[in-house]
Amino acid sequence: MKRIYGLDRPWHEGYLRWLGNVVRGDLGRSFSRKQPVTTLIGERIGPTFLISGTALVLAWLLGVPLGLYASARSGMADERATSLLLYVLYSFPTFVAALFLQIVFSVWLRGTPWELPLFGMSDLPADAGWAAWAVDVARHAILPITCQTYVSLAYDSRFIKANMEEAVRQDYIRTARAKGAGTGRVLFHHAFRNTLIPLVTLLGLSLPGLIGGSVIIEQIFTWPGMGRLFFESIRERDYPTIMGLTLMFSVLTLIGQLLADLLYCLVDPRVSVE
Amino acid sequence: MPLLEINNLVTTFHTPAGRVPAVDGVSLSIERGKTLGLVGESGCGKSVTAMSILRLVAAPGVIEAGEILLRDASGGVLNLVTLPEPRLREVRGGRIGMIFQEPMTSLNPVFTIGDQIAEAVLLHRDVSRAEARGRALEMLELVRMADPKRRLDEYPHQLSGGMRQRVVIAMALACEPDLIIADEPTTALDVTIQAQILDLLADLRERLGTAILLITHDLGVVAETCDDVAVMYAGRIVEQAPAAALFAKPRHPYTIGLLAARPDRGSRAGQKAGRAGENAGHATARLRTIPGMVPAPQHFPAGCRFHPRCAFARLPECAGAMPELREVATGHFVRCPYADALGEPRRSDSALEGIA
Repeated sequence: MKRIYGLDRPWHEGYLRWLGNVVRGDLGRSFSRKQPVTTLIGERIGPTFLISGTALVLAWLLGVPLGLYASARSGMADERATSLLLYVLYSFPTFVAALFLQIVFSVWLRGTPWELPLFGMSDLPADAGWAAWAVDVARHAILPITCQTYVSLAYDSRFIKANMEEAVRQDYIRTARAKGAGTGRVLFHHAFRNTLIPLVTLLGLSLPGLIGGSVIIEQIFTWPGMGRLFFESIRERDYPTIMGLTLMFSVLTLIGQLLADLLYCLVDPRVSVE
Repeated sequence: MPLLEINNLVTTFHTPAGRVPAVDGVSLSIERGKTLGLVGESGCGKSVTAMSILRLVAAPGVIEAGEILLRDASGGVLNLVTLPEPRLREVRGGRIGMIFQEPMTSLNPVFTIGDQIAEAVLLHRDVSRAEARGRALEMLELVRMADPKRRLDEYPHQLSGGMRQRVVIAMALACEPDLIIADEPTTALDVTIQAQILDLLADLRERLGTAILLITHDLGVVAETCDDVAVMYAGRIVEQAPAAALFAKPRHPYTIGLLAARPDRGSRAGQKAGRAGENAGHATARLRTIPGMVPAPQHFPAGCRFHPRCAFARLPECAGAMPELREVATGHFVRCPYADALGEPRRSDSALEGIA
């Protein structure tokens, strides 16, 4: 046993061997699943990306206009109501929301056209047609995507609003108004362009989550993604898989940062690649 | 008829601590093509007055009373206090340009110089982008920017403070306004650049016939550039006169104190205006000061607001009713009942002793 896992060698030798394998693209074999870790990750990346990618795009598509709307109407009754709702959503725990959505759409609405599957990614047999399969997966994905979207949506729009409020206090906003620019132009042209800088940072930070997925959501909806793989491998003490996933998340974090740094050059003229 | 006439302007800030009247009944007028200097210490309300003209006072500030009348060449009058927002936007940057104190932060860091000047043109004139860019280049040449073609595509962070202020001036002048409001345009710049910017403003006024409202706490700047001067204290005008008359014969105790508090030597303006305080710089090396502090607007004293710091205050009269602004000589207005006596040069000398 000790020989198989190389535990008879000193630790630094083991580490160097692991490192050498990683460089060659070999993350080892899962203890519990008897499969290469890279294969496991390869299988899970797609489903996770489907959920978190869609959720990310949705959250930004809705969050940016919401944040801008909130800063344009700052202090008005409708903005306060929206902001309060977003704040409630933001502080609402995902697992409660997930269970609640499951009750509503899979139990209470059972038998109606609104019924949505409780968990899993697809109920169809493997030989079902491609189109039917896609529809089935989409129906399964709706609830997990909703869960993941609402948290980021609330966070993103609040983040944008906070940054817009910071931007509109700057002197150049006063200059723009003194030039004769209208409220819309001042907010969307002058202020928003400056909030892109912190937004890029936020986007870079969200990259690991895009591939890493959400442990809670994937677990509740038994979605075959990376988050669930991580959770299960910890439970099964599947060290090669845990190591492989951790390594991947750290590399993704670094790539996210690098990406953000490169994007700065696009949105902030004060930063250049040199 | 004056180009701009401010009548009894009251601008108040509604803060949690209470109502703060930063500008409390200010009346001013600026003639076409002339320069009016608005002078006072920090917090006297001069910047709020300037911001009120274009209704740029930030919340919780509100213009509560008064009128601001802008006349055009054909006799039409606009009241900027009641003008609807879309029409006011035509005035902002169109008929009135504004220059701010902080050239380092008053330009948007993410747009090029050319874009920011061209924007001012595009907002007010029906021209193409290319034409607006051409106009921006023209403006950079007008404000004597070195290498203007290259600057057009540069960002604010690539320019020095003096160059940025030139850009702000170019932006303010891009639509040939009748009036430029310059709110401490040189305060944040070093002395050599200050002189360049002031020369530029004076030169532009001469060439374009633009009137200037120059807000400053620097009396030297006023002596050099202004036709008329208004002195503000605690939210009110205390003295207004042609520059020469004010420096030769200041009438209000506050103005007398301000002039005496200037370091005389080394200042170009000092020689011009030094007559009022002939013995001030020579007798002693110590700088004369006005005792006490500018009161915060919540704690304005009753009666004449300067009386607690005034060397000639005659109690209880000065603490009784607020003195009216009255004309003591042609075009020379003073808010002090004893202005006639104070106006005598001999008396003002002894007044200075009293203040020091």
